[in-house]
Amino acid sequence: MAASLVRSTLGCQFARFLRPSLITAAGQTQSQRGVKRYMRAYLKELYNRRLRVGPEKLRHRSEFMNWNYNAEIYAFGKRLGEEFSNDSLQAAFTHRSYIEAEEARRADLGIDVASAPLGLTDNSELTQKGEETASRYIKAYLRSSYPTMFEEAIVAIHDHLMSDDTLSHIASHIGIGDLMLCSDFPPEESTLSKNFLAVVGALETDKGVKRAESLVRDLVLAQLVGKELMELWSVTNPMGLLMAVLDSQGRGPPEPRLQWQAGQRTIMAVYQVGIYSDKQLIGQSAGERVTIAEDMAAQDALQRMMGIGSGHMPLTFRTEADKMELRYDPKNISAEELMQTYELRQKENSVS
Amino acid sequence: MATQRVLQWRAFARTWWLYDAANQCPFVSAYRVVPYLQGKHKPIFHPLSDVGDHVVVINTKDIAMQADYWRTFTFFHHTGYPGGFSKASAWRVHEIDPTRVMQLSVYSRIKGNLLRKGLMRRLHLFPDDKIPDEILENVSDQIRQVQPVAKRLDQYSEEEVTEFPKFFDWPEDFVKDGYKRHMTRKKPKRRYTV
Amino acid sequence: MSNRAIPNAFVKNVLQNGLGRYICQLQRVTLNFCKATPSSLGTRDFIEKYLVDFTRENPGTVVYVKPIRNRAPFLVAEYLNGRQERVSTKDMPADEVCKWLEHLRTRSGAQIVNLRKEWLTNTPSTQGVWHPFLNKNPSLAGTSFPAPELYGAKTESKSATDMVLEEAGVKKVGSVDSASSKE
Repeated sequence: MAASLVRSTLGCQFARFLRPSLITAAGQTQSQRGVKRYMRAYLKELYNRRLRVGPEKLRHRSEFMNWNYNAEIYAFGKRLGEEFSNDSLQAAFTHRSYIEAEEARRADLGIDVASAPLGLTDNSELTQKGEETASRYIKAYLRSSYPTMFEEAIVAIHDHLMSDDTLSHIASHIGIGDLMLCSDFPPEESTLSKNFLAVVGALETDKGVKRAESLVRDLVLAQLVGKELMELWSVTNPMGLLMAVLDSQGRGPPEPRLQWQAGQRTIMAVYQVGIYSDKQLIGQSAGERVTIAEDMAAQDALQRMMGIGSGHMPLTFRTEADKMELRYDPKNISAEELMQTYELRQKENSVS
Repeated sequence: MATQRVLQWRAFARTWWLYDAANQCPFVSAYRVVPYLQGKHKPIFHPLSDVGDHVVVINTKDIAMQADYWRTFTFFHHTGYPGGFSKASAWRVHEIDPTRVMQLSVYSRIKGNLLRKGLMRRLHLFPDDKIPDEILENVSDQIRQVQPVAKRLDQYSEEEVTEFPKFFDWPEDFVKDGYKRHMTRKKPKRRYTV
Repeated sequence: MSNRAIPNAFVKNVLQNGLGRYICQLQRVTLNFCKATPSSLGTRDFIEKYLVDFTRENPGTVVYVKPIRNRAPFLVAEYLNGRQERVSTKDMPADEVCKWLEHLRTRSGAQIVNLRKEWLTNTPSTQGVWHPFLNKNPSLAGTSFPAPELYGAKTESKSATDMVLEEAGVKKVGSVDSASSKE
């Protein structure tokens, strides 16, 4: 009863210390009957002093006793299911900033850098290699998965996947954060993403392009699953693009029609717009206002043309993906070009 | 994100239903209307999800009570204070406020939980068919009536009446008002005055 | 029962693990034990008999063995998401330590909380989510309300008037069929 009263008055965090148990000099715990009232003020003061000092200093994992760098590096490779050579993996985790910091430290200590070189190679080469491979593969994979997708959309998705946000998120969740040799701590996003690309480059050096591409697919391209691909590409004028596309295909112009509406005069108004071309429904969506609904319907039409959105095939992984025939160089149709040709044609028609 | 946003907006859209209460029993109508207020007609229904629709009831002044309910059905009310009990027949309540009978029948049909007041706010009652434009523009669907309304004799055209097939007629010497001799009453029947 | 105040979460799979390749989320495990005290007997047995096999089967997990004098034995598992789990192996026999290690190996490292839903899916609906306009007749969009001829009560049986007219062989007036066909 008394203990629960104490707990309620002082807050649940602090009351943990008021559990009736006594630690003797021998380090054994002995239960005691209740807690003396004078203990409360003393423990409260201790608790507040500890809070005032601040939280524990953030330490790198290597500062703790149970750390074996070589074992960690080896485990990293095995965790990904790949066989790396130790040299390339070591190089992948060594950043330029670390080498510079080390050399500066040695110079401070008076060690001649020329006579006793560090013998470390940084990961700039591997990063570049990895970046090229990853970039090339992502674009090829997307082009093959979505042959009718506009090149701008592919580039937008590629940029999203290769951004620091995505790559650093992936890197931190496969254990790169602890293994990196760099001057910054806590690790910055850019460093993590560079390190990840260096790992890809290292795998390419050791096992070839195919295995590196497989790694990129399993870790990077897998992040697209569950994402709205249309969100990653911002189209400023979806209706204009739709007009251009239909014109290039020799189909009728897009005609938006209001299909349904509900609660017109309320704040929860809903409008459903369908876009028709040659009296065939090509896109349909809803919105809070008619303009929004029309915009979304145009985006829906574009989505269906590109083969993305709900109801379309998911991305391929594993053995199926290994068998994919990739289009590395030929690019997909460009939305910009389509719109320009359409505008020219419109001008010619108006002139004639 | 935007696609999901608009699709969710559409899924949770509130429809405004119209219900014509002319010549309909208010209690049976309430039985018909309440599921729409609750949202039970939707597969996404959950009582705590607030998926109910609006219902606009028109012509409440023309509702029809069964048997002699206009006279015998009593609405009770207690203010909560001592001596605050009162009662009124359906015809009396209808006289004072032509939408009240419909309102009370819907109110008592809904379960007496905390959601009831919210549901009642989405019920819009009008004594005749004059609805404000703001509300009529929202209406996008209609609920079927519960009772078939028979056509009155004066609603038939003269040709239809005269041309209606006749299978039987009284004999010429038959006295049509003969039954009235047995139906006279000397003392007038006591009527309810409440 | 279930309460908003009780910690809960949806199932999550970080980095879509398993979609491409499966990455064991156990980054490193530390076995702390005492070389002498009887409470660490099981842990010592485990280290002698089963630990090396464990390391061979799981090359992606770094195993540290840390003897501490006069302390109760425990395992510390560190996961790729940065979380740690401690399991006290005090007085446990070797096979129980095995089981606990197996449990830690197969975890994702996420905190154990009440799951709000047992599954996680990116495609919750195959035919599309319901919306109020889904199964409505398109002619409804063009109807002006009120529409009394469309929404009168349906009568299943024929009225007396209809029966009389049918008997007489006259065309029906205000028939049942026209009302029901509009629905």
